[in-house]
Amino acid sequence: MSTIAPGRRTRRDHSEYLTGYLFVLPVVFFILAFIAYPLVQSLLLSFYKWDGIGPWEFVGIDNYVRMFGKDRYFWSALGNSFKYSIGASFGLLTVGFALAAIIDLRVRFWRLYRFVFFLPITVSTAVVALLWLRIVDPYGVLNTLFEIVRLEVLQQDWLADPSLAMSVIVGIVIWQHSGFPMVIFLAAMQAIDEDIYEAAEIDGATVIRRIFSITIPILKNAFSIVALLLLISTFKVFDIIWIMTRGGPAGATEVLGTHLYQTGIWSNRYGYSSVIAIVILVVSLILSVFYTRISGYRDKP
Amino acid sequence: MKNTFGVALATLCFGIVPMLATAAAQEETAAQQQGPVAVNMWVLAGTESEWWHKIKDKYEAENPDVSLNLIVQQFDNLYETTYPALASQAEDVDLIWTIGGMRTDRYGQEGLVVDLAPHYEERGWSDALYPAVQQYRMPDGTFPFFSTDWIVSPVYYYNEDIFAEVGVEPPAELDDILTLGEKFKAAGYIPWAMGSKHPSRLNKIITNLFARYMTKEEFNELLFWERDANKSVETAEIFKHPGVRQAYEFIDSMNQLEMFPRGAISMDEGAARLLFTKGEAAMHNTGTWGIGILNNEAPDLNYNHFVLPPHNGNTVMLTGFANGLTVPAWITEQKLEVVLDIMDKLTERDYAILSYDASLLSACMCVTPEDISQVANPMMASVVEAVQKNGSADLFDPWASPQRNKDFNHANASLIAGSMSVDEVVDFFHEAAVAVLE
Repeated sequence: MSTIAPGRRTRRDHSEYLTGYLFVLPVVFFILAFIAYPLVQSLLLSFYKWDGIGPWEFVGIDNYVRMFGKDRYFWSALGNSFKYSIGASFGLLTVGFALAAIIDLRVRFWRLYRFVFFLPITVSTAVVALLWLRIVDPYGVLNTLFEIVRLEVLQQDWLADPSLAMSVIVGIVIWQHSGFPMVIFLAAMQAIDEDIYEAAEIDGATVIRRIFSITIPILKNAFSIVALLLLISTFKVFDIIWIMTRGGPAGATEVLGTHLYQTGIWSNRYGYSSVIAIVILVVSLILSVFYTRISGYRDKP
Repeated sequence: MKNTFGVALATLCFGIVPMLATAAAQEETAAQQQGPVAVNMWVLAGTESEWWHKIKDKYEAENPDVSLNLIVQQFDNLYETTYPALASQAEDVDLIWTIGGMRTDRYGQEGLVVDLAPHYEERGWSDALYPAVQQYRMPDGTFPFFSTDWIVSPVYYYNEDIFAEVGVEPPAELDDILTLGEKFKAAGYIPWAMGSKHPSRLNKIITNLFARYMTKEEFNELLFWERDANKSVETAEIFKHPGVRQAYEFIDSMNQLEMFPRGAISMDEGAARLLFTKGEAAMHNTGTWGIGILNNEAPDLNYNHFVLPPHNGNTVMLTGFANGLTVPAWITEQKLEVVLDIMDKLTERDYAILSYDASLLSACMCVTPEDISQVANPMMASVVEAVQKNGSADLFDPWASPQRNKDFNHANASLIAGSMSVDEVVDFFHEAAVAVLE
């Protein structure tokens, strides 16, 4: 009678491992080809000067020095990226959570609300941007509405005023994407034991108190995950800003994404634009680590 | 069995494949000698492709052995398709026409396109085309680009009914524009429908103003400063020329008078045009192509146009020969001959005149204003007449660095948005030039 020593793998084990590797192989290939390779390529390119056609010319850290020291638009674009990312993430978290809390109360027509609030996410950003361009046009729907109700004082050059443009875009993004945090929070809320709420209700807790004392603490991890995802995804914004303002007026909505596009695709400075891409990557990584730590997401109960 | 397989494989590799290759090569040679020459041409544009269809029909009718295959793509593909295609040399394309074709300098520097400079002399193109075309010659003397047509960007349209209602005439002097602005504001109209979400609409007005407040020589010095091999901090002082400040003060006055629509700086040109065609704005600026667009979008609109009025006797007309042809370096000799022949044709009246149907102004001086008034809108004839009478200066330096262009856009937009004063804009404009030296 043969025995198998503990920890020793049999032929069957190896076969199963092999099958597992084969299943994983396409994903590994995908990651290497479409994530790792471009990443390494961008990193390398950031030390070169390249116009997209000729040979790469090694320039050491010149691109980095130029970006941090001489680029007139980098710091304002970085600042605008943070403004946009923090503003949009905070707004999305707040509005998404509020919508989820309202729907979770099972108010009348809650299913309809859930559908309607989620609907804008399914629409292409380009379509949303064009739709809102008509609304916030100086002669568009919003200003006309203010005129009809005799509130001309509220009329604004929504996208032409440098002090307003970014807030308007953030508002539009919140309008479009609130459905995403909403569904995550809703799913998490539905996992909360109803007995806890009932006990609180018996103790006389109001709805608001229950939300702040029960729902929010229990959803701490959901908040962390959603906030992390929102911060990272919004920091890389490009599409809606490019369509609505092209980074204007006068650079008021210029973010790293639009600066990168103009530098790389329009100005053919691919080496330099790679440096901006690296900055976006690094900031995203730092945000991830930082937020994961302060939110205590790693702490297990 | 293995031997049989090996023999078969060897036969395939060393026998049949070369035979097939030889046969294919012979067939190709025969086709080149006898069959039609197929020239594949990319037309990176929108409505302008109609023009090329007319040229194709005419040329093929006259040259039955040539087939001009047009592949129409959007202009944006200039950046996303043409560059990679030329870089990889993998596309089956023999000729490229595009708006903004002057951006071929990089192709030229890399040797990816045919240098057409010798042909400008040998084939007489230099004499046949407008002199300002020469400003697209690269600093090293090469010429990677054949200018086909031009734009007088600063063409200003006005609503004749509104002008009649307010009792005013088109401006005769530059300062009249401000007076008109006050009158239209008082009458409840938007004086000037400008949509400069794309910075070029504002920039072209400002560039045009530079040409009014500077002599032609000074203006050209400023415009082509970047290509000057001896440029320095000292020569960059041209960017602080009093004329630059005066031009910015003028546009600032227009802005302070609220001559432009609300939100002009973030407004699409289409939205601005709508204000004009709906009769809410008295004037509107765009290029000569606007004539065709306005005719299509508002056939009942009673409008006319003027060119920027003189100031201190400066009347030079800005022109941009931005549209044209580029020939990939890998073109065969046989096809190159056809392509050069097509270019020759474009310097002849009966081909050049076809461009006017597409609201494009031919780069060939062979077409007279009288010709144009017969085949196109008489407005075009008067624009051509103004250029031929006043002389042309280039609209912008086609080889200026993208960074400086961005700085120019930024300074102009900041002035209109109120985030920079005239002094700050002039300083920024100057600093942008100095930064090129670093």
